[in-house]
Amino acid sequence: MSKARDSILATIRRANGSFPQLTKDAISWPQPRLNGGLAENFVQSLKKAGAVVEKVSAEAGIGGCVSRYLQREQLPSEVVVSDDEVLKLSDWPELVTVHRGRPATRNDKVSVTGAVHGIAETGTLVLVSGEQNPTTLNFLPDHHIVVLRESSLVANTEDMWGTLRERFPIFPRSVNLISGPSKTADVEQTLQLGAHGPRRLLVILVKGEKIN
Amino acid sequence: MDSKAHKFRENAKVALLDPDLQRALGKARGGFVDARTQAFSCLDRHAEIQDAAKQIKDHTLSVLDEYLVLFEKNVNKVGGKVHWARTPAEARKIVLDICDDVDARRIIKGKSMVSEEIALNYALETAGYDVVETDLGEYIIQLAGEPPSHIIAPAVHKTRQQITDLFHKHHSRLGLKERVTDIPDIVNEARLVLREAFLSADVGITGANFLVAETGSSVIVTNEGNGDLTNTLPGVHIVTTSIEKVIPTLEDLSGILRLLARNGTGQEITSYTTLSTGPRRTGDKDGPSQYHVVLLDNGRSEMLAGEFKEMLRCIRCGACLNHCPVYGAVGGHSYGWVYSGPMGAVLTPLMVGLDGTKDLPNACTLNGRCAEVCPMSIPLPDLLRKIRVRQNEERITSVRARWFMKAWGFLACKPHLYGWCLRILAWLLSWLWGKPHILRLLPFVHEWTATREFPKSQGFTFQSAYRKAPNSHE
Ligand code: SF4
Repeated sequence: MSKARDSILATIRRANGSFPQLTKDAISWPQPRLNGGLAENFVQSLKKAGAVVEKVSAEAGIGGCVSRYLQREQLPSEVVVSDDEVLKLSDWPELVTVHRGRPATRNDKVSVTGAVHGIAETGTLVLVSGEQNPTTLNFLPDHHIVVLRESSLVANTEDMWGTLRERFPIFPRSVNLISGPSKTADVEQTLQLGAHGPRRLLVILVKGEKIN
Repeated sequence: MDSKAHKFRENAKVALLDPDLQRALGKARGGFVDARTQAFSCLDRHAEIQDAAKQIKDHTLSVLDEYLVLFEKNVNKVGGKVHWARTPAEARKIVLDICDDVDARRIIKGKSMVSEEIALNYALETAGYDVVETDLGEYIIQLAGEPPSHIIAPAVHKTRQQITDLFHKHHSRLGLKERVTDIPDIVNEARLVLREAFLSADVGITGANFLVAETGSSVIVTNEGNGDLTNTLPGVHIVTTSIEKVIPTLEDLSGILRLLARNGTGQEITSYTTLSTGPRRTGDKDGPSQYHVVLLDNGRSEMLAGEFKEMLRCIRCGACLNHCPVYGAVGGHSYGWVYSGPMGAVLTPLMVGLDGTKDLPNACTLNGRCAEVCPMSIPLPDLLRKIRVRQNEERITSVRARWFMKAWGFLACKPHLYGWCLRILAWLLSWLWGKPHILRLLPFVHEWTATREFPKSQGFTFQSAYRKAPNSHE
């Protein structure tokens, strides 16, 4: 429908013709200051949104942390794990069956994925789709476990876009900013967790710098 | 959906007497307002952020053509396609053609007000597709066969009891015979039923809260995760959206996001904010293989030229509805079309025509709460007043009201004569008090006295009392 395109653009140009063009130069977005440190803010916001946060001191401890969660929640010892490099560094307890490198299916109860960044201001995890990170892992299973390096925390989303632009010259198909488990208030404005996406969100924060 | 805005008066009367609706509205009213106040109590530099948001939108609108072309270019670059639609009919045809092209049978939908605006469900169902709304609120009203009554909480008018009945009626044939009455059970049952729809759909349709020109991304802001399943699982993702949703950069998205959820649900941020950019890439193991964006105009480009331009800054947050005393009393359905409350009272006449929507801008007390809360600084009461002026110019306003306005305008320009008339009126009203049978005969008074006592006039005007006061300066 290029006729529609031309006609819409022409109407816009005609309408705007009689007004001055406003430049963007003088506009600056103020960024809210954080009250405490990055990790503290991040954890507090996530907890407020209904997520559970655990800390481990090194990548090797991720598997153990996941396994304890499975036991605590009385879940089957079976997880789908994305190919994210942080997860490859983990040891997995033998009793946990680990499926790797595939998207989620309807029967998967628990998924484990990595996040590229954490946003302290709002307690937000930034997940990026790609060969190693199928998006269905973030939404289909009942329990979503996200692993994040503490060193990837930034204060605001503005601090991250530059890095993403550099890292992905072609913007990824899906960028998911996740700030809590799935919820709804559509029945009588009463908050209920687990609408369509994950009922529970566990965040594992890995201390220390990235080891190359 | 055809507009039923011409029936506003009747609709409102029915709504005021509907006990279920009043119960539901009563529950929602305070909740949204308190949550918003709470959410802003801890936002640093709120006023500055709001100011930047207004400026960014004004800038974008002033060069809208450039940003739309840039957005289109970037969508093309990643293998998506942008479709332009001047009218709802053109938009529906575009969506129908895509669905036809891929031999779709089942279509799932995430919440989209533009899709409501173009009455897409009806068109798709008529064409034989199985259409399932997946946002819980939208799903509830789809079962009820009703339009949304609120732009962010479509089923806000439904009580839990009504939802229980709806689920029982529609889910029994799926083998779910038990009545679910508790909220967790209701949500769970919807999850169970809709899971099947997600996994078997051929096309997923979502709206967009924003379009980022810089990257060619459509952005949705949700809590349930249904939008994400909708844009990930089916083979085709269609975004139904409109031209004023575009913003320049990712940083601008960050800025405006600080306002959206706080004003809508009173959250700092919603559970999910998702940027979708094109179809699945080589190597991707999931995601749709087609990505289409339908850009609807429907009168928006015309609005750019005139006095209603500021309405195009609206980000559909819902704060003006939540703070409107009229909306709070009569609910969204009374407005008769898809947009309701103050923003609806401005948009509906502009989109479906001044004729047939004449009560909407007049059912407003001009109390100004909406403009006070609007994150995009849209002067809603001024815009409503401008629509009233247009109605008057186009002789849509009743003859009686137009004559009254003329007479009042004439008097208001002659202060002395005006003062005299008021004095006579004050005296007359005080004399008439206690004679309701005569009082009722005066023009306009009946509407007031039908449900209220007429207050007693003191017999003199404020001006004369002021002049007599001991410390008067005259
Ligand atoms: S008019 Fe303002 S308050 Fe109302 S929905 Fe739009 S942005 Fe929100």
